[in-house]
This record gives sequence, C-alpha cells and structure tokens, in this order.
Amino acid sequence: PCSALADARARSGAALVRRPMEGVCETAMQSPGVLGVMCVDSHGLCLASQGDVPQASGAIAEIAAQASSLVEDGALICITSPTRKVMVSRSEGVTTAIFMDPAPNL
Amino acid sequence: MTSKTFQSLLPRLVGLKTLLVCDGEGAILLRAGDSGSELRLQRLSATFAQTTEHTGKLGLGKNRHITAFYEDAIIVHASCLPLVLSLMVDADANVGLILDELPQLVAALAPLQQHVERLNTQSGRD
Repeated sequence: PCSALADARARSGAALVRRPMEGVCETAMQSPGVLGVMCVDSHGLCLASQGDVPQASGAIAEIAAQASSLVEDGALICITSPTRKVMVSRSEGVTTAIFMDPAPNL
Repeated sequence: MTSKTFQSLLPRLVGLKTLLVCDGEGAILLRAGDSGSELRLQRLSATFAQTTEHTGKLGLGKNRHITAFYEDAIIVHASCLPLVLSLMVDADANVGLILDELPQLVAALAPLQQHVERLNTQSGRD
C-alpha cells in the first residue's frame, strides 16, 4: 500500500507539472481579490496571462532577478500601492506575478 | 530633433549592447553603445527592411518588430518605415524589458521618421 500511494503521488505530481500554464492561471484567478496573473520566462517574455495585467513582463522578470541577488530563489516580493497589490515569485526559471486588490484598511 | 526624448529612454534599456537607427538601405542615422557590433547589426538592419516588407504580405497586417535569438546575442528589429530600429542585447538578457519600451522608442523616432519620409519624397520628385 505504501508503494502504491507513493506511485499515485508521483503520478499526480507529474500531472501537475504537465498541466497547462493557462490552467494554473485560471486556478489563481478564482482566488478572492485576484485581478490578474502573469507567468514570465527568464528572458522577460510572457508565457501566460489572465485578467487585468499591465504590459510589463520584462519588469516582472527584472524584479525577481534583482531580488534573487538579495535572497535565494523562491522569495516572495510584495509590492503595494493604494490601488493595487502585486506578489512576485520566481521558481525554476518561471516568474509568476499575481495582481490583487490591496488589503482593506482596518 | 529626436535626440532629447530618444536619449532619455536609453537608460531604461537594461543590458543593451548596441543600438542603431538605419534607413531602408542600411545607412546609420543614430547609434548608441558598443561600436564593435555595429557592422553586423547594420547588415541585419538592411535585411530586416526587406523582410518586414515581405512579412506584411502574410495577411496578418504590418509587421511591427522581430526578435531573433542567437547563441551569442538577442537582436530586436522594429519597423518604423522608412527607418529600422535595431537593438542588440546579451543572449541571456531580459529582452522583455526592451520589448516593453519599444512603443516609446518608436514614438520618439517619429520626428526623424517624418523628416526622412519628406526627404525621400522630395528626392523621388527630383
């Protein structure tokens, strides 16, 4: 049973890796407060995007690249303005940016 | 007439090695960056001027820009007919940053573009 469970986990992990990037964007868009999602490669070129995102794929890649000189890969960079919050993270060469409504004032 | 606005955009082009603005026949009108790569970029600019005309016949509308990935560099050619804007960056550079700035660069070249068009029209009449 343990080996069967490990096999099933390995297969589902592989299926997640093969899942189209657009499907991942769709899943992220369903989260509350998410306005847009963009996935960018190491050259700053957009791989997939959904929702309200700016034409700034190069800037997103550059933010992640500059942050990696401060901390290791996988760091989460959060940019907040009065009208928008952006979360940027890079993993295995792909930078993902999620554009959200800013947190409500308490 | 173009230099001030165009020049102010250049610092935003992170990783830029060489920039050329050429006419349709490859004559250099504006240059920036490393002069060592100029000759190669100039030849490619002249080729692109003809290529962009042919790609316009594919039924997809006018070609705006072409990005070519090489082993040693990435080259972006933008069509501002009768001018060609060519940019060369390192092979691992963030070419997305260059593409993000391309509309502003092309807009900044508008006065020079119009001037060259007028000169071409006048020389065509003479």
